[in-house]
Amino acid sequence: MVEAAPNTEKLDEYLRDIVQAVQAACTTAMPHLQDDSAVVDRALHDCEELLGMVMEGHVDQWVA
Amino acid sequence: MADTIWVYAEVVAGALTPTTLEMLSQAAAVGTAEAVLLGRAPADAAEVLGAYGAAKVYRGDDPVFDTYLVLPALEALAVLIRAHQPTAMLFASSYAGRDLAAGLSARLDCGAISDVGDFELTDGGVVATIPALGGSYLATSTFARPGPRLLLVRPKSFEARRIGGTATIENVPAPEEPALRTVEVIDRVEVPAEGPQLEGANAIVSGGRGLRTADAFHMLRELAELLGGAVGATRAVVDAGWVPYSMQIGQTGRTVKPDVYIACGISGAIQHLAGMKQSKAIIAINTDPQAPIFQFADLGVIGDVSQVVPQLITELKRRKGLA
Amino acid sequence: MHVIVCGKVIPDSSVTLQIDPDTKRMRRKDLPHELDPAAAVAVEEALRLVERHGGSVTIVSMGTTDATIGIRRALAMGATAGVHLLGEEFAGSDTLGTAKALAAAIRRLPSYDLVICGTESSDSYSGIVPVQIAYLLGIPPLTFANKVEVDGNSISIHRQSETGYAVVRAQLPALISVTSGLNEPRYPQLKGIMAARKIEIQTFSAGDLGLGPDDVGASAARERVMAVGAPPMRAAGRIIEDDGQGGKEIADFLAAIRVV
Repeated sequence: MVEAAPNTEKLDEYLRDIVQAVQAACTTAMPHLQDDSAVVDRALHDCEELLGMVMEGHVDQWVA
Repeated sequence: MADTIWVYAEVVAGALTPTTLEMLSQAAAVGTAEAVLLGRAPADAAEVLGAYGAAKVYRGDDPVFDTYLVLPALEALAVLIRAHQPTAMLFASSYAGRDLAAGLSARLDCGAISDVGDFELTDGGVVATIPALGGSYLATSTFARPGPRLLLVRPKSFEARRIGGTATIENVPAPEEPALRTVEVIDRVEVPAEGPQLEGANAIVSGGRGLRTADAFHMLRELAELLGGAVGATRAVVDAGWVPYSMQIGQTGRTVKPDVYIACGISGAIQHLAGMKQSKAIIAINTDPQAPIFQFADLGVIGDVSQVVPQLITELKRRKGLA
Repeated sequence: MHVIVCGKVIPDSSVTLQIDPDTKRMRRKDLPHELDPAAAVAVEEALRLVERHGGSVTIVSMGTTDATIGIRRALAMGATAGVHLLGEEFAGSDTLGTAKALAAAIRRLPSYDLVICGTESSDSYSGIVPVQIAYLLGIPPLTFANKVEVDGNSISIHRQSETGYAVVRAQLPALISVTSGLNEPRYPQLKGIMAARKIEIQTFSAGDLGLGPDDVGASAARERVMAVGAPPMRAAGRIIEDDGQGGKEIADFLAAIRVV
C-alpha cells in the first residue's frame, strides 16, 4: 500500500469515490444487457459523465 | 447435577421442525434437555418432544404467540430463563430463532453465539464451534461473562434420535402487557413450492458458463428438485440472458448459505464466491482442473457437467427407489 | 419521514478475508473497503420510501476510518446525513456492543420514524444486531422483509418464512431488516458524489455516547473467540476425475453429509 501524502488525501478520497461509482454503474448495468436497454444507456451516460469530469482535470474543483 | 440445556421448539407447516429435534437429541446427549414450545403446535407435540429427549416441556399455547411476533415470546422466555437458569439455550438459525435469541441477548444482557455447528459443555461454560468466513476457518468460541448462554444452531449439525422418553408439561401463561402486542401478523401466505427460495434453500445447484447452453438448466432443475433445493446461476450466464437476474448468486446478486452448493461449470470467480462461500459444503464439477473453484470445493469432480449431472440424477433416483 | 439506516462498511468482498491468528479478529487493515451490499439495499429502500413519502435518510455506521468511504457512498446515493461511530474503544465489540453503540447514536439524532438494517452483514452473518437495536430503542422489530410499505403511521412488510411469507404490521416508529433480494440499489452518480462531499459526517466516540468499556469494545464482549484454525473438512477437499463414476461419488458425498 502506498502511503498517501497529507494534502492529497481529499484527492484520493474523491478519486476513490469516482472509481467505485463507475464500477457500481457497470455492475448494475451488466445483468441487464439483454433485457433492459434503458438501464444500460443510463449507466453508460453516467459513466461518461464521471469519467468526463476526471478527464477535464479541474482538480481545484474536486478538492474544494 | 446435570446441566440443563433448553431448546426453543418450532413448528413449521404443522410439524415440529427437524432442527428442533436435532438440537433436542444433542441436548439430551450432553445434559438434561428441556423444550420451550410457544404458539400453535400439533396435539402430540409434547409427546414427540419427550420421545426425542425432552424431560420437560414448557408449553404456552395462547394465540398471542402466533398473532404477535417476537415480543410476547421474548417476555415469556425471559421470565422462564430467570426462574430456571438453564446452562444454555439452543435456538435454530431460523427466522424466529434469530429474532428471539437477538431480543433475549439484549433483554438479559447476555451472550449469543451464532452459526454454531457443534458445542461442548465445559467447567462452568459452553464452548461452541463455528465455521467462520465460509468454512475457510473454524473458530471455537465461549461465553466471557456469567449469565444465560444462547446458541443459534445451524440445521443438520446434529442427528435427531428418538430415544422414547416422556416429558412432563408445565404451562406457560400468556404475557399480559399490551406493549408486547406491537408486531402484528395480518396474514400468512403460502407460496406454492416451485422449490424453496434461494436464500432459504438447503441445497443449491448452480450453473455457470461451463454448461455451454441455456438448455442445460433443465438438468440442474431436475437435480435441484431431487434434492429439495433451488437453482442458482453466475453473473456470466445472467449477462448472457440464459436465466433471469433473480437467480444470480454473487457479489451483485444473492448471498446464500445452503448445506450444500453444487457448482456446475462454474470457474469460481471471486465475485461469485462472495455470494456462496458460506455454504456448508461445496461440490464442484468442471472440465478445467485449474478452475479456482476447486480450491474451495470439498469434493471436486473434473469432468463434463453434461455427463456427470445425468449420472448423479440417475444415481439419486435409484437410491430413492424412483429409477 | 426521517429514516435511519444502520450499515456496516466491510472489506471489499472481492478480496479474500482472513482471520489474524494472533488477535483472532478479521484482518481489516489496509484492505479496500466498501459499503456492505446488504446495507446498500437498506439505503436504497430508505431512499425509495422518502422519495414516496417525503423526508430524509441518515446513514449510521460503526467502524474504523476505513468506514468513511462507505458512508460517503450512502450519501452519494442520496442520504443527506452521515454519522460515524469511530474510536479504538469500539474495536472488538460483539453484536450486543455494536447494537448498544448504534442505538446510543440513534438516540442522539433528530427524531426518526423508521430504522432500516440489512438482515445480515456480508462479512459476519450473525443476523442478530437489528433486533438487538430494536429492543434497546424500544421499537417493534419487523425482520426479513422482502416487501415494504408505509401507510401513514403504520408500516407493513412481507416477512419471509419457511413456507412463503407473512404480512406483518406495526406502528411507526419501528425497525425493519431487509433481505438482500429486496431491491437493486442505485449506484452513485456524479451529481450525488459532488453533493456528498459538502455533507459533514458527524463523528461520535464511545465517550460522546456515554458508553464505557462495559458496554462496547472487546472488554464488554460477552462471547470470546478461543481459537481459530483450519477446518478439517475443507483442508481435506478431494478432487477426482470423472471416469463414469463421478455422479456416484457425488451421491455418496451427499449421503455422507446427510443431504440425501
